[in-house]
Amino acid sequence: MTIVDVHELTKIYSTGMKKGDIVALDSVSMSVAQGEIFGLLGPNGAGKTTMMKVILGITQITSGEVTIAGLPPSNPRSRQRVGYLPENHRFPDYMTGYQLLLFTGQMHGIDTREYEERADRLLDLVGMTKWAHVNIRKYSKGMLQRIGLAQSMIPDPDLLLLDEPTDGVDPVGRTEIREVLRHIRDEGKSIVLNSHLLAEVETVADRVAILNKGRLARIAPVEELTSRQSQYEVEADFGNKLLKLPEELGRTVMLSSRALTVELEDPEKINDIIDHLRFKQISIKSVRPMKVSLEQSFMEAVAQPSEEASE
Amino acid sequence: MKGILFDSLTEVRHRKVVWIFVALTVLGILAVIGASAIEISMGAEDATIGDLSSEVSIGIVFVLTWISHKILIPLTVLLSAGVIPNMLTKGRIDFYLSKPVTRSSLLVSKTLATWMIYTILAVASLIVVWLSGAIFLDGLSSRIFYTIALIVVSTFCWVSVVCFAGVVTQRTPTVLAIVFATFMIQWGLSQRELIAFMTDNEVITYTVDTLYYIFPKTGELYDNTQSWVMGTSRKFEMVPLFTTLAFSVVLMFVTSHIFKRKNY
Repeated sequence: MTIVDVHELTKIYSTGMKKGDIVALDSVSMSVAQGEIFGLLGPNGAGKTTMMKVILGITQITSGEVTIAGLPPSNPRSRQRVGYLPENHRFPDYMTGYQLLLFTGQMHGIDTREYEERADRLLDLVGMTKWAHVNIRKYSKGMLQRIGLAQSMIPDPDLLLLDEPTDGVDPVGRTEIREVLRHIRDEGKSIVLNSHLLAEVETVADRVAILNKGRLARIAPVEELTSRQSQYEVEADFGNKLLKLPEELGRTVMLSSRALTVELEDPEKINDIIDHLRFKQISIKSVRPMKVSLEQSFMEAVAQPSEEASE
Repeated sequence: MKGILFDSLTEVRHRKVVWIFVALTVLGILAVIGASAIEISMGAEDATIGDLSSEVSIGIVFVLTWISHKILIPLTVLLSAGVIPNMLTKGRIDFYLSKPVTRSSLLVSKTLATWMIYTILAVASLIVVWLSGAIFLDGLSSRIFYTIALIVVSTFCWVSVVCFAGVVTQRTPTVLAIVFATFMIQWGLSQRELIAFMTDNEVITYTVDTLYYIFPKTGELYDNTQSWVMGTSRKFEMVPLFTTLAFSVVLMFVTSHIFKRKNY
């Protein structure tokens, strides 16, 4: 089931006659399924934050269509079960962390007893119970992120939009936040995660969309983006054998005494290579598709013209 | 509304605004005590203690109305000027707008909550000083309700201007500048007969007359209130009241419309 549906979305910021208009999003189509962690990636100015703001109705749409659980962003009910952690947030600094959670609960129209219970539970979950009654302006960046994450979860959201949630958080805190995100996903809720930390997105996200200059450069499962489907690594004891693969099987990328990397036009050919190696009486230990980091894949995607967006 | 009221109350409490009103109240009480020490001689030989008490009680309300117009209402404007620009700060407005409320209800709730809180503080301060007048000067006039009405209407008008200026400019100093400009324009328009006489130009006279019926008239409301307090006028001029209220309500609608169309 789709929770967010974006169809041919265009957002143009008018800056006046002299400077010209800024195309923040250009005919972007994508969807977020229920129960998935969806990573939104892109270089600075790619339109990631605009995308989140459009989904929430904070920014108006120029053309196209966006729905959250079937409702347009102009309908406030579309945000009833949506949590949001903005980038560079400045929560009301006259509140304590606890008051911020209560305020969020009230704004979502949740029953008083219920949001008080949730506030206590979430403060505990993000490790902020000790600082709950301290004024927000006294919080460190990491503490602000934690309390921000807690407030985003107050409405028991079906969809969580997180813009740089681990910004300023130490490595231990990041790991904890990752665990929280997985826990939320396991409950069947969806998360849209906007982060510059690609390694982090790679760890938690199920699918990612890569935006570049307002256009969708790539949208695919993380597994697909990080695997080189055409390259395989065969771990085997080659010893000093001078191995030469027939050209019709594939191209040898690298060969050492312990491993062979081959590039195949057809992934099915890997079976022929295994047969060939076994025929040569080479003992195979493992065969696995070559992996690349999400960062590498990201760099390739943003270097390509965006018309080639593919799933 | 509940959430925004909570938000506004927390903001006012944190900014310790209450203490400013407490300080003013204490000053008012001290002034009343000081006044009670002054010996008053009766001017007319046939005047009674009852007459004097009535004069004193009306005098207290007269002074309190003047203080309300010159100090309490401007103070309310000054203190509330930063509320909307504060809410619209980058990074904070995203937080507010991501909640399941319409933009109109968010803005109107915030404005009304601010107006309610500051009006209650101003009226409470006024009533305490008025009661101290009753204790120390033996003067208690129910005409104080005219003053309370003046505060309620005037602060509503100025808070609507603050809200408009806050949404349009998003900066506290410019909000104050726009409030001051509005005050000056309404003062200028109140001199419309003089302008017509001096310019002797039909177009200018017509323009000024039109603007006069559009702009709020808190100054004239004050003059009307003082006439009622003093009992010098039995007729209440409805034009200043209606135009002030209509201006405020229309301005709130316009502001709400602008807010709805803005990108943040």
